[in-house]
Amino acid sequence: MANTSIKINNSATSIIERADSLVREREDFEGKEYARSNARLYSILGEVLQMYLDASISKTLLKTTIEKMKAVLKENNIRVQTNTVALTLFVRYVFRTDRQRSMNYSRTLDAAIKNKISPSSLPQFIEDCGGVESCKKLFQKSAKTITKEEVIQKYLPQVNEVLTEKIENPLATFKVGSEFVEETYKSEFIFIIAKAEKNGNIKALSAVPNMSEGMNKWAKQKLALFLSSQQDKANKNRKATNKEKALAKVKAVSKNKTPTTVGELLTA
Amino acid sequence: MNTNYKYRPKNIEEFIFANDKLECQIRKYSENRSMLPLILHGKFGTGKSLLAELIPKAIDGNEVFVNYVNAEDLNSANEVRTKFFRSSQFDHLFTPPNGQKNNYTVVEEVNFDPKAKGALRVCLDKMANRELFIFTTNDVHKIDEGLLSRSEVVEVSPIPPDRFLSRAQFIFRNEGIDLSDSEVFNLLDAVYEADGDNRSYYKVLDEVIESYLFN
Repeated sequence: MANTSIKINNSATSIIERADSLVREREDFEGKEYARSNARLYSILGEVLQMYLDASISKTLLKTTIEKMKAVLKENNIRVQTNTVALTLFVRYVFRTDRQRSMNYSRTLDAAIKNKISPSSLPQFIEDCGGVESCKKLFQKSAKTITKEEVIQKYLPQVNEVLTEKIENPLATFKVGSEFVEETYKSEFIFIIAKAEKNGNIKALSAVPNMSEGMNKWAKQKLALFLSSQQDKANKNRKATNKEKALAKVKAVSKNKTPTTVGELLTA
Repeated sequence: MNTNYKYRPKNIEEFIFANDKLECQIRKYSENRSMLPLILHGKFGTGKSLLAELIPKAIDGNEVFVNYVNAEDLNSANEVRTKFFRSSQFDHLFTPPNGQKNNYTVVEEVNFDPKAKGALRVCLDKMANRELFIFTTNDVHKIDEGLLSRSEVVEVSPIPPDRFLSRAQFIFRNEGIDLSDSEVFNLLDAVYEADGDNRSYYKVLDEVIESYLFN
């Protein structure tokens, strides 16, 4: 029994050693070949950008270049839609790659143009953004996402304030086995798994014995959005109440001004 | 009777513009000085449909013929071609109905990016200066960029209380109710804050009149 246990332990250790070795290889690959290949990709993208800017000097030049590029792509059985933007066409011409990848590169170049990044600074720009994919995402945020992020930024200080205040005056205090919190008690906050009822009763079921910065951030963001929606509701209710009050007042005034006696009717 | 129907503006002169910029933009159309497709956008109940109705009337009178198209038809290239397009040869041979100055097409509630946007763009280009297209939408962000670039995009905002005050007083006095300007303004202001919707003004006027007459 003890021998089997030792064997398993040794095998596991050996697998971990192989995994660690792969980690080192991966780090080496990322630091050398991958980094080199990315640097080369970013540099080619920089050259595409330069070429596009050169062609954009005159409308006629851009139009003629596009026509020639389209013809070559057509010969190579690469379909180009009429609504394809010129920049994407340049990317497709150079990379001859699928539509999605061309779009990603094209959006990255578009972001660079909008941010007045020169072709020679493009590799650094992409590097600073964290790669092509992150660069595209960073500059392709929808209006909805931007609004959501603004709301979070606006309400986060309030969330922190409320939580800090609640430490002194918590909703409830209860004890769990210390093993549940031995890894988390030093964290800013921990998570509790609980079951909620419709009327707001909460049954705390267990403390979560682990915690991550991501969970902490996610929870605070959700609280920020919740506070914002509560605030919106309160504002809406206040405005609705004001409207009702104003309406009631005008109704009362209009009635008071109604001529009721013969004298009033005659003078009205 | 609901004041919204009873006192509905019958012509562009009776329409209350939320601001001077809007008035200026609409006058350009109602005085037949622009044939660029017109996109009227804004919240519910701000008067977009009413403007789409009053602009052709302002140019060609109350009996004007208007081609009303369902927004859903913009999803089919075939429907777009059938309902939007006329050959220039046809227009050369036949003048607009009833001796109208223009032809009009109104598409309301375009609250999505139409599938047949390519066909629509082509039609708008081919019909340029021959037909006045008016689109209304609550969500201009969903409209195709190609359509936006070809059009005059006009925001129709809810009427601020100070601009609606004289209309409200006209309605109240017509219904036999005498209230001071400040009393009416406070009511309109509260409605504007709460709803920001012109129809809400009429609804509260209805309530006051109902209470005055029947309670």
